[in-house]
Amino acid sequence: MIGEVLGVIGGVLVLAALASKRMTVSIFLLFMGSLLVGFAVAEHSGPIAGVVIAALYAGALVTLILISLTLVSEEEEIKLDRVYAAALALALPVALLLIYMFSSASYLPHKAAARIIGEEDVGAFVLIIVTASIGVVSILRGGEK
Amino acid sequence: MSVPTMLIAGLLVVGGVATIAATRNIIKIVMGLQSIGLGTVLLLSLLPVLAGVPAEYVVVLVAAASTATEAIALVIVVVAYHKFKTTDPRKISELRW
Repeated sequence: MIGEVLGVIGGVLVLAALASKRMTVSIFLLFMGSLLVGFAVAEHSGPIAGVVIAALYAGALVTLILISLTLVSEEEEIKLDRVYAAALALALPVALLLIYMFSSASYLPHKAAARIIGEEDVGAFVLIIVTASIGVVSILRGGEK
Repeated sequence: MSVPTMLIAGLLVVGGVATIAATRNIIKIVMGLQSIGLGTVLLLSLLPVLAGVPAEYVVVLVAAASTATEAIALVIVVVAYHKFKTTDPRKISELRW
């Protein structure tokens, strides 16, 4: 059931990205939609496939953002604003939480989960999404100015 | 059973094709390719649910092929921009056949 919901939301986000005329919104929606579709695939056919898909498509989108910034956007000076500093400050706990999540071995195939998903996992997931959102919006808005 | 996922997967493929056909931005074409790949992968991921067939490796293979296609398309975008100084595919007339 959760796979269905994630797949539908991710698909709607990708379609909204295709329909959007602003490149910033489009790339950001495609990024979020790809992640959600990756989670849906993980729910349907195994966590390894989902993680691989999320990693591949997120990597492709980072390349797309870089090329979009290089070709379409105007040149600008690198600056350190509050949003960028907040994203950097959040990056360290996110890295620690990711190490904790993967070290719990709950994503290894053919093994029972080492523990049940709790509040800290939901908090880590929300933190990851918030950090990714802040980072992407910051980079893309900076590129548009 | 799994009808919403199949429907959204089909919409992703159709939406990607429509974007490639209609857009005037070459970067949007790459995004259309990604949408087609995501729809295909989402549909293939239903194999274990619908037919009981393990599809993990097939899904990973299709995703890798789709990403490789995107990488090649992005290289073409960069080369075309350096040569024609535009991201509008209709202005890149030398690539027509």
